[in-house]
Amino acid sequence: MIQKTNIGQEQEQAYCTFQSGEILCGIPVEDVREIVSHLSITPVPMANEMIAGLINLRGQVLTSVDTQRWLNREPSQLEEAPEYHLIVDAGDELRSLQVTELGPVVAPHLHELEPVPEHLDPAVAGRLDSVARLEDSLILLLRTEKLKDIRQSRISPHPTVQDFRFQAASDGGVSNPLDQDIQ
Amino acid sequence: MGEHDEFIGDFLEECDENLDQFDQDLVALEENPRDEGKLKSVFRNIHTVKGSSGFFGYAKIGSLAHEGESLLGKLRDGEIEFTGEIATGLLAMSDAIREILVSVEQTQLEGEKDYTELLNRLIALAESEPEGPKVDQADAIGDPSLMDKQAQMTSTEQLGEDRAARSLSLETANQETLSDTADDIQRSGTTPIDGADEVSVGETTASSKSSRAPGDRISSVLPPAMEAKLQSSSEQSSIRVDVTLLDELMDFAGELVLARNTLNRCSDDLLDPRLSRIANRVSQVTSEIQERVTRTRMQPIGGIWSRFKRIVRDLAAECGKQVKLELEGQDTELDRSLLEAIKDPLTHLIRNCVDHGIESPDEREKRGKSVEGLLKLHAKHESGQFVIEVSDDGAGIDPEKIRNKAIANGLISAESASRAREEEILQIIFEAGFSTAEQVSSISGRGVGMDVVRNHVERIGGSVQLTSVLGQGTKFFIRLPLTLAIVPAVVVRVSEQFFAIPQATFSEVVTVGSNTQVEWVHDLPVCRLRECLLPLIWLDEVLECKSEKRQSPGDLFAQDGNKRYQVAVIQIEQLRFGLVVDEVLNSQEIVVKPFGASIKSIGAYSAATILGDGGVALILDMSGIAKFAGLSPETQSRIEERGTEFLVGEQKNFYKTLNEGFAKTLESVGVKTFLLCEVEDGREVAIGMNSVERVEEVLLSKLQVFDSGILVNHQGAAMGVRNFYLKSLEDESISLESEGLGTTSPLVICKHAETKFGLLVKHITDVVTVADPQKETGKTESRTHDPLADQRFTLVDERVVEIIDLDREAYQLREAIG
Repeated sequence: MIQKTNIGQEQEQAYCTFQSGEILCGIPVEDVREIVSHLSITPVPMANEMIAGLINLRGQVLTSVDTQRWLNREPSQLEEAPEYHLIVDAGDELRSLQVTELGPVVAPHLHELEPVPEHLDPAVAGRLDSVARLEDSLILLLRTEKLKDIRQSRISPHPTVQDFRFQAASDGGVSNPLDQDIQ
Repeated sequence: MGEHDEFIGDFLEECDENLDQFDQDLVALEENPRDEGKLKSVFRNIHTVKGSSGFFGYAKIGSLAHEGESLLGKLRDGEIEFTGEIATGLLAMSDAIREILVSVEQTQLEGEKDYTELLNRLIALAESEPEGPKVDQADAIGDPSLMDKQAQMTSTEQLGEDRAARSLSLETANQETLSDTADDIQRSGTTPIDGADEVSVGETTASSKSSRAPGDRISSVLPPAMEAKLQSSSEQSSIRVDVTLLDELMDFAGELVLARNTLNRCSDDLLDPRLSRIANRVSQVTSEIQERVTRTRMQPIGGIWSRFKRIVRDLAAECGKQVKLELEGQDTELDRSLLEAIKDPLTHLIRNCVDHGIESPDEREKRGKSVEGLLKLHAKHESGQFVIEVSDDGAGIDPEKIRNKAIANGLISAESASRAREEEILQIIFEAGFSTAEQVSSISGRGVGMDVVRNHVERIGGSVQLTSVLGQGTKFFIRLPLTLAIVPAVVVRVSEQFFAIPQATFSEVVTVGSNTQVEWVHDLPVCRLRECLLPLIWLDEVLECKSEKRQSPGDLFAQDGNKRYQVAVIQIEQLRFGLVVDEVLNSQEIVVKPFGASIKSIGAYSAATILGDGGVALILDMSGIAKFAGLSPETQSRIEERGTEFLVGEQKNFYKTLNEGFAKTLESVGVKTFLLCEVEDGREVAIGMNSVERVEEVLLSKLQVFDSGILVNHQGAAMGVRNFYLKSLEDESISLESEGLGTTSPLVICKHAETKFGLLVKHITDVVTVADPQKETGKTESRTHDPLADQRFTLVDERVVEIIDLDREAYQLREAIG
């Protein structure tokens, strides 16, 4: 897979690091607009499970991404609710990333960067730029622009309601259930 | 060109405006060739285009405009007569210039296309033989000073493009101060060329902005000085504002509405009279600001209609028909974004009317109609909506043809087709893949179109319908909301979450309980609403908030025997259903907020909004919800794939016919619908449903008691209230207070005899339909002095219930409050 990585670039890129569940992530500092805490989230029924819901950022409605699900991790039940929203500029719109804990800004040296592991799920691998191997930790460096690509995965609408209606129709009898009432 | 870049945008905009005006005036001129004002305006417009294109060095535009101008010059001087041929030539010129402008916009260059042929055509037209005697010049123009000046300018133009631009700028300067024309002309000949550039840039832009064909408005009989005065006063009373600024203003007005909603909520919670006063005031001012800001974005529909004259003219010529376009209500205003969005569907409808609707002259004559067909556009505001009617006096639509075609195309089954009423059949032409044109023409009738029209209109929250009388004509109705940014909506709750339903799709609320009303017809839950069957959709089921589904009455109330659901009755297009929610809260103005594509692609929500508590609520897309619940005609194709011979559409029609059967039966015996309410002392009264607009919960503390009566702030206006609930009306202030500030009570909002007022009641108990007492008594004449006869009482389930005399209430309110 060909992708743009930091490896081989001259300048060292600074990342804003954060923790989401057990995963350590980093996102380019220039993509981060602000960090807010304690916003109430409105869930969106039927939305892609990677979408945590909508938040109200000073009158602007933003889509909040469930960072763990976005990276293909089932959040464990024991974890606390995410505290922070990292507001990032994902190209044409702002997005919010759910974050449990904030970390420092790091600028890994070029030799500390490694390509995304081959064995990762390709969908997830595409969302990563590279992996930074620091002294005591591994940080997944995210590609911000991929945050806007979350689409509706399920095309078919609610199957059960549908099926049960077809059944209703195919029962066939066009007898008027209100006959007795009319008479 | 670098230094000009920033002006090119202005130049393009200016040319567009001038050409639009040019087209309009030219078509008007064709109708009435003697209209000197229009002729002047046409001349001026093309002159401006020529001048500014010369300034930017666009030679092709310049030469086209130049020939057009020469032609017009001859017309103006009476050397040649205005003919249809000339109009067509000039219109072709304006189209050619537009083409070049598109190229300029994209590449800054004029493009490769060659216009020699058109140029020659224009020259040939100009050299055609004069048909009448030469008219006296002063007579033809009516304004010698202007003519002199123009003559002067014609000579200066020979000096080259720079000169042309400069003289143009001076022309506008002249127009502004016509009093000293001669002096100005003098200068136009002597001003040095350098420095003129600067002047002309500023002036040309300014001029095109202010000189929107003043000839239109100002009669040429006015003396020049007065003309100048009129013109300058119209300049001062309006200014040009950047559209983005207006959009921003609208956004902020939206924020203000949100803040107002929050404040109102706070004030309701805190019950501090001072706060509530401030909140009331802020609320009022916000409504005013919102209304004004909305108005600034409104533009008269006439702006886009004027284009249609040209379109109809060209179309009629192409089809060999004679069509007269009649416009009514051009001043009716609509939000500019909606105006933009309605342009295409409207054009399509007009094309359809000319192409299919209006017959050829021969045929019209045969049918005893006037040879000239009539196409009429009528715009108006109606009950908070914008309505456009497009009607023609053509052949009309044959429902039988539609019926057969629809059956042939598999859009509807023969059985349901035979049941459907004519009106319903007609609406089928809006279905995808339907076209009745036996002969496909270049204008319309490619099997796409009417469905696109409907999609476009529905996308902006509107609806389209048609009526037609065979042989007499067709009429389309387009209904649109006035604005998109702030809409009235009803907020509903499902478990812990709030959703908004646009008021436009919402008709009423009914309550269903454990022992009443929900019935199962072939496993399909329905409820009876005034003897009509209403299919029910559980919102939590559709949105998958709830895992289990309800299939029988047992499931429905298994957990809680006393649970009551509220049903929001939704009407979209031809679909009517009940949306079952836990609670219908209130109706409020909501600010529509866009959200990302990842949520839009779900198809169940149209946008989001922010509620009074700062939380986000989703606005439900009702046609999406219906689709998810399997109630939409569009699911049809998928069902057919599955080989099911039963169509959802048919299912729908089945209930519809059922309902109609009922409605007809009811009509024939004569029934009336009443809202039953409990009032003081547990008495029951009935309010005629015809006059009831809606029911709101009102905080008793919000009722303001005066000597003359009670007033309540209802959507920013004072509305009179009749009290049927609290006993001591004379001692209102005390009794209202003793009831507690936080207590609410239902307020039935009625509109009767041109008066809007509220009736304060204790409870709403039911909606009932009863036999119309008048008709009943008509049959039994022998009864005398029956209280049922004079409509003061009615029988509900064997009980006698008093009917509130709305005439009297409205009269008393008017007397008391004025």
